[in-house]
Order: sequence, then C-alpha cells, then structure tokens
Amino acid sequence: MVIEVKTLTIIIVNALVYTAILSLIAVGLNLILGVLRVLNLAHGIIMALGAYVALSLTTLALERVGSIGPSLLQGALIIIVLFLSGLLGGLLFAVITGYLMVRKLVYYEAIYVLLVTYSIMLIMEDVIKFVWGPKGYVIHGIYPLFGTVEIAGITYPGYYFILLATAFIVIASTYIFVDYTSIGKIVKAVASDRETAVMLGVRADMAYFIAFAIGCVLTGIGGAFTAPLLTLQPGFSLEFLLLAFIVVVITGLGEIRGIPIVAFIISLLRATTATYLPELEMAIPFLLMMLVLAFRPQGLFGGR
Amino acid sequence: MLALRKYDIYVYTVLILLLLLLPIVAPRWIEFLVIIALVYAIMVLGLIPLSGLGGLITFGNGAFMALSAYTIGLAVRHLGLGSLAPILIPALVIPVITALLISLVVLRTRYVFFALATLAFTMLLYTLLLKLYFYTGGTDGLHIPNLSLLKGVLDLKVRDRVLGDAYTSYYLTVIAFALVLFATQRLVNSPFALSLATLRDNERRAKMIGISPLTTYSLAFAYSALTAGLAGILYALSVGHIDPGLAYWAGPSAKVVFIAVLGGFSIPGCVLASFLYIVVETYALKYLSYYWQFMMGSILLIILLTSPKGLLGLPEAFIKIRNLKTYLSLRR
Repeated sequence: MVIEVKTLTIIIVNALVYTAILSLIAVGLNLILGVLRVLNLAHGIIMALGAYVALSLTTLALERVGSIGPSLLQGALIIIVLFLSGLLGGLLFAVITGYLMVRKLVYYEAIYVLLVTYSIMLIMEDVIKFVWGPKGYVIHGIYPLFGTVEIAGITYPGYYFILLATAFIVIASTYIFVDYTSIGKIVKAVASDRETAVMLGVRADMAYFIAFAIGCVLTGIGGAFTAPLLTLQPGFSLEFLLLAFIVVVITGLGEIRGIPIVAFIISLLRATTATYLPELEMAIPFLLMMLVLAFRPQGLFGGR
Repeated sequence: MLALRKYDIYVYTVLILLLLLLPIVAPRWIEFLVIIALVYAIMVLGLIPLSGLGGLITFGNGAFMALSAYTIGLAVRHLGLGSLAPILIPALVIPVITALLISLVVLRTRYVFFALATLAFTMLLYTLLLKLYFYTGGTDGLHIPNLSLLKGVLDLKVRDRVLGDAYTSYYLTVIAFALVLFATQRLVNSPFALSLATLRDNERRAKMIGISPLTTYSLAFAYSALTAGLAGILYALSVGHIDPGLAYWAGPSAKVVFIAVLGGFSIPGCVLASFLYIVVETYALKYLSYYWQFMMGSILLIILLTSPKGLLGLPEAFIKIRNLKTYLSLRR
C-alpha cells in the first residue's frame, strides 16, 4: 500500500487538532485528579458549558461587530471572546460545585466520588438543556475570519492553527504556573502531603479550590475553542470525556506532564485507523486503555 | 429491617407468588413495566456480591447483557434459529466465559481503575457492535422474532398471551427473577460472601489467610455476568428489539449501579429500588420528557449525600437529622 503525502498530512493535521482539544480537557481532568483525588465524571459538562457560553457570546459579538473593522481585528476580538467564554464556563462550574468538591468529595471514597459526580453530570446536562434547548447548534461566521492555510496541496481553515496555538499557550502556562509560582508550589505541596502542608499554615481548602478552578477553566477553554468545530447538542461532550479519561489513564492518574504526548498518540492512532480501517476507529483507544490498565496500571508516565 | 431477616425467604416467596398472580388483575401495560423492572432487578441482584460485598463497582455490566442478547439476535439472523431452548445455554455461557477471560485483565486493577477498565470493555463492545454493522445491524440493532420455546415439542411462543393474558416471557422473567433472588440470598449468607467482604476490607490480610483475590473476585464477576446475561435474554425476548445502546456505559451499565446505590446493596432494597426506579423513570419520561435526568440525578445526589444505606436507610437518616435538630435546639 502506497501512502500518499497528501493523506499523511491530512492525518497529521487532524491528529494535531484533536490533540489540542484532548490535551486541554485531559490536563484539566488530571489536575483535579492529582490534587483533589477526585475523578470527575461531570468533567464533560464543563466542556459543554464552555462551548455553550462561547456559542452565546460569539453570536452576540458577531452580531454587534459584524460590519466594523478589518477581519484581522474581528478575529482578535473573537479569540478574546472565546477565551473569556471558556473562562466564564469553567468558573461557573467551579463556583456551582466548588463547595461540594472541596469540602465533601475530597474526603469521600473514590467509588462514591464517581457516583456523586455522575449524578452531578445528569443534573447539569439537563440544566444546560433547559438554558440552551435540546436542539443542535452550529456557530457560523468564525472560520471565514481566519482565512485558509495550504499545506501539501490541501487547504485547511486557519482557525485550526489558532486552536493549536491557544492550546499550546494555555497548557504551557499551566505547567509554568504549577512549577514556578508560589501558589502553584502550594498546590503541589497540598497534593503530595496535605497534613504537613496544613501544619505549615497552608489553607488546604483554598489550594484545592484553586486547583479545581484551574482544571475547570482549562476544560472550559477547551470547550469554547472546540465549539466552532462541532455541532453543539446535548451530550456532545461525552465522547470527549471518554477520550480524556483514556488519555488520563494511559498517562497516569495525576500526572499532567505527559498528557500532550499521549493525547497525540491517541489522536494519531484514531486518525490513522479512521483513514484505513474505519470500523475500528472508536475501538482502538479503549483497547489501548485496557492494555495499559492491565500491564502498567500506574500509566506510562506515572512514577510509582 | 433486621427483624425481617429471619422471614426473608417467606417474604420473597410471597412476592414471587404475587408477581405470578399479578396478570390476572392488573392491566396489560403494568405487566410490561414489571418485566423491565425485573430485568433490572436481576442485574442489580447479580451485582450485590461483586459491588456490595466485594466493593468493586463495575460500569460495564451492560456488556454482558448485550453479549447474550446479541447471541440470540445473531443466531436468529444468521443461523435461522426458530426456537429458544437450543440458544439458551450458549447465551448464558458466552457472557460467563467472557467475564472469566476479561477478569484476567480487569482484575489487575482495583477501585476506580476497575470501574474504568470495565467501562473500557463495555465501550469496546459497544463500538464493535456499532461498527460491524454488516453482522450486527449497527445502530438499527436486530429484531428478535416471536421465538417458540422449543419448536415441534412445545410450540408456545414467547410473546403469546397465555394465562391471565400475560406474555409467556412474563412468566419466564418471574421464574428467572425467583431463581436469581434465592441464589443471591444463598450467596450473601455463604462463606464466599465473607471472603469477598474480607477482600474489600483488607486485601493483604485476606491473602494472608488464604483467600485468592483473583479467584474470588472473578467468580463474583462471573456471577454478575451470568445474571446480566439472563437479563439480556429476557430483555431481548420481551422487547423484541436489541441495539448497541445496551452496551453503552451510560445505558443499562450505569443504571444498574444507580439502582444498586439506591437499594444500598441489600437484596430487599435493590428489588424495591428497581421497581421504584422503573416507575419513576416512566412517569418522569411522560411528564418531564426532556428533564427526567435532572430528577434522577437529584434523587441520586440526595441519597448519596444523606443516606449511605440507600432508600431503606432513609428513615434512619431522617431520624439522625431530627436528632441533630433537637440537639442543636437544646444547645441554643
């Protein structure tokens, strides 16, 4: 079988776009998991919130500024609006469930946490349905603002590269925040040894909430920037939630460092099988996850 | 509930007799709801040893339901099967064998990882059922015709109206439910249950006194697969149509965990919870159509946060809250 350069580029670009989305969500999920020890089944909801807020805000923004200025200025505005809506969606979830997460779920057994977050997922999904309605939405008018890019004879929307750049910047700044700021160090300290940290005068609740809010915001931004790529309908985030779970399990619970790499492997495998063996496209990630759970339960990047 | 323990068997027998006599007085639509409630009850009872005693929550029970249902569906579609009896054994054995094989992989993990591993397994099956549409019919699913029990010998069909105007499959479901109920009752009062509980409490200590985690857990897992397989057969026969949604993690798999939590992992609690769940779901779907998940989620959340013993623990939780109130008012 001859593999064409064209096909290869398509696979790689698609995989990269998917990697960007997945890493944003999975880093958020794994940050919460690593610090709070809470496996959040309602994580897809944060993504959905970000996406739906982005839907409302960008529609509003496009209506208001539709006619003024060059498209570059509008593009910058839309990026800011998307960013803000991700922030808003993430913080919304963090504020609504923060008390429950930080004060209660942190001390629960892992299984109960799964069930509680599952019920939060059921509730919030219907809240979203109540606010935005059960029909599907597509955000129009964002792709044209960013023009097109041509690689190896194939034309891609310029928005893809905006998405990639955003994901890169946001994830890199998360790593920098966790490693090089004092708040980040406090969060890390609470994650590794809560009691000692509390004895040294750290407010554990606050550290938990900061980590939780950052995780939510990352996912919200992921949702907001994914929104133009998708049809928004109830339950659209479930697929991403499952894939984020797979990425997290394969990377190792609580290990945020290796996530982009694993996300890229998964995306590449998916894109490749989607091209050559479409029947197995969805099965491959689950198969990989089961194998990793069986033979390296701590994950590929997990230390112990 | 403790006072009832001694008379459990009699209570269950009366319950089964009432269920058998129900079609004589009840209208037809109730009979169908009872079938679905019993199908769920069978699956939830099968989870009690693994999840209640052993403490391993599985999000993949629907996979075994789908396996047995699709065994029947595929046999009908590709082998031209006309009667139920010859396929009954394969449809029960296939989920059990699969469970035993899969347990070699998933039982290398515990707690949340186990839940995720079983979730991965059921999603794997789901995607295969969905994508191999040439064999499985994809999203359309498969039609299960009105099979006869054993062609030539016993030409009674499963969806024929018999005694008291109920389907034959209604009586099959009640009988299967009775079997699972008594088997589970026997199981939770056996040494096997004790070793499961020991494993849950302290696996290292359990190993020290000679309990093999893999054997014990995989037997409990196989039991859950067996009951899920039974439930799958009964579901397929009664509803007459199966689709990959059976294996979806947020489908039956999550519902049975939901019901088991509502029932507090006790036998009477789980039976009560599955009936209650089906009734509430039916009426919520009728009157709240779009927002029934909201109601279900709120109920589950309240139960989880107030009463760890499930529905049957609610009176206790209320008493605790009232005592707390009196206590607080006294202090003031």
